[in-house]
Amino acid sequence: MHRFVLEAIPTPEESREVARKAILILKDFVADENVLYDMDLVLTEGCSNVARHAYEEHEDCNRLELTIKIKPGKHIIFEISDWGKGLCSKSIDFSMPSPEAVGGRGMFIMSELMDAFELIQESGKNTIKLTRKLKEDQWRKK
Amino acid sequence: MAEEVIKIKDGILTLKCGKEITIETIYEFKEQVEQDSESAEVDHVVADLSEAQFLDSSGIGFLVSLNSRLKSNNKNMYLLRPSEQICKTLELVRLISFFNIIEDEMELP
Repeated sequence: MHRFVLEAIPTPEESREVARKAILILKDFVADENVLYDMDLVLTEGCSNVARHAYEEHEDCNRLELTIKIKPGKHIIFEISDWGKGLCSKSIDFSMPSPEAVGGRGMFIMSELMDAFELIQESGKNTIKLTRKLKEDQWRKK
Repeated sequence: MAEEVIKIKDGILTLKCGKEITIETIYEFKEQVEQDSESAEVDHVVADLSEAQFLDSSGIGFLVSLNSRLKSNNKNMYLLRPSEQICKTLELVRLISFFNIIEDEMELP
């Protein structure tokens, strides 16, 4: 199992940058460009959620943490964490909004592109844990 | 540095989108495009996606919002030459047939 941790202040710019850095790490393990694109989209949505919704006010002490766990040949796990409001599982809507809706597609995108979705709340830390299994030919051959 | 350029010519507002239309980039041009598209000079808006390689839900929301705003003013919006990856994302959120997609400016009415 390989483990990487990225941290940032959750601004729109930083949240996108965290996703970009994560993709650079994943490129060493994942060969399939479509999978990498999906992962980029999922991470951008997950980190954007923290930037937009986790904290009431922008403060330099706010934190976004992304932990990447890679088990080559098996799966990839993303754990996106904040120490703000967190997501209430009862209020999460994974359904597709109407075509005219301006927002509400982030959760749908994450749920469509990942195999498992879990919310963990522990000692003030809120984590969205996302798991994606990869096929054998989607991994980079070492 | 902002890569997007807004141009108005012959009643067409063209938004030259950069490589990414995301939470990070849309705020650089969102207000200006919305304001300029209200002008009586503008009949159509073309979002030139020919260089775009990445679109997230914030970018999608911006395009949906602009499309609705234009429709309410009896104007149209077109997405020009979206890449395979952009189309894939629009398909994922079931919006591929919601937008008017063109491959050439000559297709404009």
